[in-house]
Amino acid sequence: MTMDFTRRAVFGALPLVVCHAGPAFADGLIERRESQYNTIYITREGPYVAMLFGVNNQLFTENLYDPARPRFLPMEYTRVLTLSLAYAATPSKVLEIGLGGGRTAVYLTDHVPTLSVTAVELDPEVIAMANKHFGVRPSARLRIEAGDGRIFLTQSRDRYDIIIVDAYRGTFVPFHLTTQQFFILAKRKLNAGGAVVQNIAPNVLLTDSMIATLQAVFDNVDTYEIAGSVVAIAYDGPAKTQAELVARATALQSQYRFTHPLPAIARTRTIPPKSARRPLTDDFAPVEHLRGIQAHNARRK
Amino acid sequence: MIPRKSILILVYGFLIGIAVMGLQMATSRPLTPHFGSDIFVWSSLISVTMLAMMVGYYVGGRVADAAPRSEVLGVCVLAAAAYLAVVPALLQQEFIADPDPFFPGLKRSTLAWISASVPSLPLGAIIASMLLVFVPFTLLSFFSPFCIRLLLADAEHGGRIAGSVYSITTFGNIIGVLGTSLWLMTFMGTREITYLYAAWLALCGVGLVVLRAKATDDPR
Repeated sequence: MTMDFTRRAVFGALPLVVCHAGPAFADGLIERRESQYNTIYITREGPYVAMLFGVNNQLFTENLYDPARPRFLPMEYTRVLTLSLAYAATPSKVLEIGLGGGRTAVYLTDHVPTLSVTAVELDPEVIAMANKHFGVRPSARLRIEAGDGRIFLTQSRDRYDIIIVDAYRGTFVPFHLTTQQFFILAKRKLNAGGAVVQNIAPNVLLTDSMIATLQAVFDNVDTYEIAGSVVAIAYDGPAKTQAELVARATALQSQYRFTHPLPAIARTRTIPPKSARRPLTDDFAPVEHLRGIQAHNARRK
Repeated sequence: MIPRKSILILVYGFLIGIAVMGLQMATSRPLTPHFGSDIFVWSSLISVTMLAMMVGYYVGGRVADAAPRSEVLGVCVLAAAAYLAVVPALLQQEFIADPDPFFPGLKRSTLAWISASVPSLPLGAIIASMLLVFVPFTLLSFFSPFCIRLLLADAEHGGRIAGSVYSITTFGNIIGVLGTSLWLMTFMGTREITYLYAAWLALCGVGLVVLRAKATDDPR
């Protein structure tokens, strides 16, 4: 869902102005929708349609869509999410927690005809907006569910080859989707050889803590830094060598001809050292304390 | 009753006020993994808190009339503290080897069991909230009517006394909400916070017992 923290429009100085006029969008506002969880803005940004969430006088870009190029992913971090296919032994079932604009799910099902994706999104209005403005249509291979990702995972009887976690809610991730217990639950719903992919927006999440949490649950955690975002891919079993990963990415690339070539993404892989930070748990996960988190990540840079 | 005791009782009211709202903030956390982050989780917790206050004010007022002594109130606060000391065991964390220090035998999260057994998430959240906070919050709600009964010397000053009691406990509530959410929760887990407030309340309970304050018209 969210990643890009950049402000893309300027709110009025007075709260009253915000209430009545809302932020000014350079290329035009297409639709504004209030939901139980978010204020959702659908705007035009150059060639793109954008979905933004407005929280605390800031706008967070959830997704970008180029209607003229439906097989192109404008948000760079979402391209890394697609590399998860190279980690799974037999990628056929994907669970995406956090639909947002839904373009990653559509990209995957468009390119891989044998793939089925289940996307779980908390906010029904986000699903409606993705359907209306981002060309996200449910199908036999793209199932969209409204609900809490963790509750869905707890109740799900299915197993998945890849679980993508990208559930941002404005400024923060709901804490129960960041903890050791959550990732153990996700691991239990993975088929053998499966992988969990976590988008970490460094200015929002305590990056080190998220990596520590994934490392506490999985044998291996790889990270990919792209356009100010970090994507972590976690999996069990023997560590994949770089040659193995690139070979697998190349094989998938020649089979499915992805717009964003998987081997190039695979080459940006980093294997972070074992983190000494305290993993986040259901008991202790202070993810809302944004200011402290931002200060922490600023020091890390 | 001498003023020193009156002041001390109000100080305990302030401290208990901190604990009640601090515990409410902390209790929202263990509910979320099992019942989601929807608004109904908060509404369940708030309504159960209000229910506990409703019952606590009513019953507490009658107990205060029957035995207007701070020892009795202190024992009620101690009972709330004892219940809260057991609550972290109910929050037993799923999946990870993190046994409760006092109840290492418990392996299954009670809240996970409720979530799996009750078909409706809002109903499950209400039941879980009842289990976690109803008993201690009811006992702690005895404080206000009890305190008014202890401090009331004559009807002429009844309004002032009742107002002071509600004001000081509500001030404690504010400190509890802000202090817990903005400070304690940044470095302490829910279980530690619950143990902290259980110990805090135990000290208040002991203090009220030791104080031995009684209403001016109490014959004993």
